Amino acid sequence: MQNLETEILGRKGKLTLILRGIKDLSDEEKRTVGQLSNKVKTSLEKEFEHKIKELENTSIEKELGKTFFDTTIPGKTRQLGHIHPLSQVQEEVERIFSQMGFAVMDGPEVESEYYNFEGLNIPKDHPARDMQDTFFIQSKEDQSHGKLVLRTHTSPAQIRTMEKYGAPLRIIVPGRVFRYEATDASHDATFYQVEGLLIDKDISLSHLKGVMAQFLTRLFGQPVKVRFRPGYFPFVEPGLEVDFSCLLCEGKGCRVCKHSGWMEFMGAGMVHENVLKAGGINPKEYQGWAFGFGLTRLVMMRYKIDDIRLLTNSDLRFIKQF
Amino acid sequence: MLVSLNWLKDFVELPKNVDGKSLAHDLTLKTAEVDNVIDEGKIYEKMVVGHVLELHKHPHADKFKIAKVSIGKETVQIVCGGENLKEGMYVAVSLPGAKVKWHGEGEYVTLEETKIRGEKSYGMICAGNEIGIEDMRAHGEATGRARRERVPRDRSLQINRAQRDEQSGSASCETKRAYQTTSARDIMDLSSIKQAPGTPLQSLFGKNDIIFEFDNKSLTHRPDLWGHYGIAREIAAITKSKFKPISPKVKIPSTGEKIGLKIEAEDLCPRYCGLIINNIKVEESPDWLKTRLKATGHGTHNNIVDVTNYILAELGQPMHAFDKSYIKKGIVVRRAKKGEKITSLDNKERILSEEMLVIADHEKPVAIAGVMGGENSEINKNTTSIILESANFSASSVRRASTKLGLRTESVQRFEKALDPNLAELAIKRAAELILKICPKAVIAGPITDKGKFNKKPLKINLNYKTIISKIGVEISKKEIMEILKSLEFKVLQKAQGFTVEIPSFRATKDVLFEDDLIEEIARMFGYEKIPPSLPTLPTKLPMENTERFKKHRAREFMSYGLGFDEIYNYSFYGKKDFEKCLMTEKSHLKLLNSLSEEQTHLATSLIPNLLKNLESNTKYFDEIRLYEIGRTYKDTGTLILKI
Repeated sequence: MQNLETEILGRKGKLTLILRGIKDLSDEEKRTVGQLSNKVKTSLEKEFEHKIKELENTSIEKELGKTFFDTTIPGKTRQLGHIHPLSQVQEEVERIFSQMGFAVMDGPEVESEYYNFEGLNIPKDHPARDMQDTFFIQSKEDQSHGKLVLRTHTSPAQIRTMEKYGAPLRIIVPGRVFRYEATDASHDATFYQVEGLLIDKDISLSHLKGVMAQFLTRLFGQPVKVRFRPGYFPFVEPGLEVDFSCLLCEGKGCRVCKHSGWMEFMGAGMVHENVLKAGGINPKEYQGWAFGFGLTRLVMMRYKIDDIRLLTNSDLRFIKQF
Repeated sequence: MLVSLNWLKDFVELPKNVDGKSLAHDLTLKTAEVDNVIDEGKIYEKMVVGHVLELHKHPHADKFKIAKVSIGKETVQIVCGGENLKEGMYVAVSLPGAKVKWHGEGEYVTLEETKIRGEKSYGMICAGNEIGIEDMRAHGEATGRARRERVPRDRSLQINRAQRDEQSGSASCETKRAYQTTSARDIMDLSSIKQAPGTPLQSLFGKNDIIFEFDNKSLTHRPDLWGHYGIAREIAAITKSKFKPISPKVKIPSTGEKIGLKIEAEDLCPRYCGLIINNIKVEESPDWLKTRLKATGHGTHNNIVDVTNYILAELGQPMHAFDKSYIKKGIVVRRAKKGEKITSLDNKERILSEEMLVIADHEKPVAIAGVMGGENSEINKNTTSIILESANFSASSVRRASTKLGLRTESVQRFEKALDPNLAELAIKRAAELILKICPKAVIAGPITDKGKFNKKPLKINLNYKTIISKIGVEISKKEIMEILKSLEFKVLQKAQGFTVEIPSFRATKDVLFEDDLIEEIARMFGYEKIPPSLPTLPTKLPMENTERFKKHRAREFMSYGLGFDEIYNYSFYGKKDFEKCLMTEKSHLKLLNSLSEEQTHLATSLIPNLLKNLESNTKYFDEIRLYEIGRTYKDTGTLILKI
């Protein structure tokens, strides 16, 4: 069949030669002959194609008739890959807060001392800098911004976002943070936090309780209650420690929650007026709260991971479980 | 910080049978986190003095003896492995129901009546470490750092020491180990005390206190809570009980010997009070004082040093006592000279620098102000005359000196929180009172020398009622707000829009400086648990999109679920070797000033070096590896990015 096709339609085929001859004809003849020959050519091509396919099908069917073909054999599957648990939970957190009207923001991981400390009401010599063991970067010191550091929390993004967008503001900032401290099963020098910030005219602690309860209830898929305790963070006032009701015993007390009925979850509070001012927002006009929780800890709690280092040691035996 | 309930009761009227756990709970929810409650009495529940009347061999086990022990009214049979056990010995007996630590290690377990190799055993004869006696010593001697093992509340775990002995006895090597451990830790011999059998160990050891262990971090912002007095004040406000203010009953003469005092660095020393006391006899402190110091994690030295530590634990004011005979002419409070040296009380030579504040005489430094005293003027057994120091030093100066010297003490811990200058005066009077009580022959030589400049005018803050309600988000009556503030010793005046509040000096150094600080006081004492959850109104406009993040998540789905790759997270760092292996140079790398290891000195400009390492480490386990990372890289652009 293909031979026949070449004989007629090939480069030196009969029809091709006729077509080439067209250029020697008069203009009027060219038109009539040209049109006709093109018609002939396309219909021939179509017919050839059709016939070839038909013959192919017959030969496949013939072949199938001869041999046994088991249609129940499963196809060769490609192994699915795995998304890191931190990414999975982070996306979930982002989705839930987005639905509550929070925008997802980013901030730089290499920060200035100003954004990481002073702007957040943590001056030099402040005891709170004890809790913030910091990685410093070899750099020149800027007069107002100090040295470069690796951010020790996601909170610098609070000021950066306030500066950029002003109030009202409704954001979360998930991201990587760094602490200069020895690593063990429950501490790593690198981990993930989620910062949250809600600034508007009439925002209260009651709203913080409501939003966190909604978020946790959706995240864990079971009713979760939220408890406040006094806590101290220089960038908020009042400052709070926020606990949620133990998922296992629902507040009755069990081994997981050390018999308290509550799980320690995050630090939060009403944004300190010095921080609002640093972000260029008038504290007389706007108020709001901020929170910061450990995404890494949340992942560990959710999947019952007992060693934080598993999340960054790139062992695929671990990753392939998610 | 460890706080004793017995001590607190000096300053707050509490019901006799106050429940330590519920008090700790209230403190945690309203003031600061209590990590642990140690009920000293409960530790010795079901433990009594026993008298070993007879001792026989165990018919089926060489390592065990059968003791007939009188525990008061009755005589019981106990199987015991202790090598030093003798007839006639007085011992500590834990009866069924008592909680003991197996060979002094691990968790506490509850005893029950049992049979050991066929012989009945009613409880156990204890070694000291099995009932926490060794613990207790360690607890007293370490300065505030030692933690007591918590008695587990889980009572379901019931195991008997002897049962364990038997279990381990089934394997021969195990038997040997168990035997050695037992003989190494001898039975506690109470023969010298000779208390009547059946006497509860609790009364024998005088343990009836409840100790609260506060999380120091949660006290960071509260200079007033670093002693029993301040905690008592909080408890009084929380439980609506009566607070008993301290007023030292001591007569300070208006004339007599005074300290020559010069404050050269007034900026670093807002107040210095000094007092000379003569006719001192340095000796061991009385038991009541030692008991309280030990219960709150302090060491004991001698009566004078112990009194200064007592004041520190009681009022939160660090004090120091100098042997007067070593002080030449008088006290000078000044900045250290460059390279000046002092041997501190911990026997180490310290080289000082100019920004550090020292207490000196006219020849030499005698203390690093607020950090630690000097050895050269230390109280010793021959001391007869002392100079008591109760001062107020600048928080940041003490903190800087401490950091620079690498010397953190309980004194630093308190000064760095910014103490109330008024506390110095109260503390020195209280110390004088105690010293006279302990050394009845001691004589106060003259008036208190009191110098310094600090703000004596009370701070006043206007508080708007509407703002309070708007920020807390729940209706609180004006009456209740006033009651709360008054219970915390704020003076409140009602105004048209709200209140004018006068801040007591012990809260005004750092903690309560503006309106929101008062709102916190109201919210926590009102009760955070009473704030109902509610949702803010949602704006109708959609939040801004974060396209980059959104696309990264889609990319992950594509890589993992489409192409079968596994996502990994690496650290943001690598070392020189790592990037050199990838033919990269140090150029445009950001370098860390302080790194945790040789492999983490540079911030990654590329994810590849770490990914290659991941390949290597995973080849052991997988024939086919597909991995990816979506992460940030860092480049030195030479400029500081100030705005993004």
